[in-house]
Amino acid sequence: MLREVGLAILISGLATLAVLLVMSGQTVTSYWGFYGGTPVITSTLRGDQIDVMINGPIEVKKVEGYSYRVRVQIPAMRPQPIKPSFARAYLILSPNSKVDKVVRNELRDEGGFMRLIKTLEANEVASCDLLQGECALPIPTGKEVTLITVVRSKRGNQPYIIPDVVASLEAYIRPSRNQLIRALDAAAIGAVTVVVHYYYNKDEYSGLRSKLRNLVPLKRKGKEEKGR
Amino acid sequence: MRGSLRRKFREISIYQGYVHGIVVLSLVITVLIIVPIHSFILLNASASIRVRPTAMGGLDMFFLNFTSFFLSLTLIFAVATYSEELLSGGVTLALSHPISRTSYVLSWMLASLVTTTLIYFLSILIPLLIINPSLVEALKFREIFLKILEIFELGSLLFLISSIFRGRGKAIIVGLILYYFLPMISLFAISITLVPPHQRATPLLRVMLAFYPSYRTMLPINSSPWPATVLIALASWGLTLLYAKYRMEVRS
Repeated sequence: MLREVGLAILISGLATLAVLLVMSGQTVTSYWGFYGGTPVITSTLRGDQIDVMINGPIEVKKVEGYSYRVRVQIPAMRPQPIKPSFARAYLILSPNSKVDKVVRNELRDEGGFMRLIKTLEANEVASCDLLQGECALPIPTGKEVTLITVVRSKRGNQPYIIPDVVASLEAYIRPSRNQLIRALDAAAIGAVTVVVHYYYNKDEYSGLRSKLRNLVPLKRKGKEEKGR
Repeated sequence: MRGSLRRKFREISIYQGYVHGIVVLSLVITVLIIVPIHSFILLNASASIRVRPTAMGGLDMFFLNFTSFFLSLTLIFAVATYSEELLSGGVTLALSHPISRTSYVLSWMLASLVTTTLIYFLSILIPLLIINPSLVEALKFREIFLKILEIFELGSLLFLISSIFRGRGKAIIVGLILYYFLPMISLFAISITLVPPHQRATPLLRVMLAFYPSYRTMLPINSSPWPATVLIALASWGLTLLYAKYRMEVRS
């Protein structure tokens, strides 16, 4: 059994190494888009103008072998399609609950929208413009970040406006050195196990097994001749 | 007593090596096919683990079912080889050496059932430990465990049947029936007999789940069928060894 287990470990190590190298640079996308303003939406109506802020935490901690980006887009404005005058996504390091409180207060005041933008710009890790379509923000690994999308639009004759924000997490596969070392380790352990098996079973290979291996075809041959 | 046990263990170990020599190629081919698939699944699951709490979703379970198909094929092949050896006369040569029938059958059972299942488990565990050891905590191993247990239990049953009705062809047919046709027919029968509320398992369903515990995840019931599955596997092993000791006839 030692040889079979050794072979399985050896092949598993080498095959996993091959998969890691082949998949390197590929992207794994996970959609967890918050449609229509969930989990948190803050909306302020002032005259003909409406300001909307959507925020949600992204819990991306350090996962070995990947680098992450969040891709954001606003595919639609409800209830009717309107082109916003301002749409921008920000990634900030503060936890979601804290951000939510600050931002809600800012939006209540006259001129608070611009103050909110300045606050976000001062604290941002990364930001991008959503007016041109979708954009991607690199996420610093090992930290909890909050994604905030701010939209300003003319209200027109709409009673309310909800931007459908879709965010997707993209993980780029970048095998770490530790992963590659672990794969090679597994292959080495497998190889050593196989060698140890052969070393301790030298007699067996020259004994019963080889006898049986030679005898079984002879027996069959004998039977066939008898049959003739 | 201790000396006799040691001698028996030595016998089994030697003959098991011979059996391994027969099945090793199929094992290597199986590992070569399933490990890249498992690595691919784990690489994808690992990337989204911080987003989805249960990394093994439906797609991943599909892959697992796909790779376990190769495990069942390897197992059928190994048992069919054993059954053919009983029929062709290879067994008489083996038994002309100082080895008892029980040891001979036990060697085959260990080599074909235990080694194959262990290697399948390793083909999941090793890529897991290489790619992301923290997935060990995150994954729910229940489904994987049930699938492996099911294949092992059906293999044990197949072994018992193949010891009685010898021949490669018979073993392959029985294996295919046990692994693929019976669960399909059972599911069809259950879908007809199962009436709401679905939470209560009918006797037919209980019997089916005892043989095919992994199907529990597909059915809307709350029952834990694996103890019955373990009992079936143990009973199959016991009956096979008793058959080998008292009833197995060897013809040359």
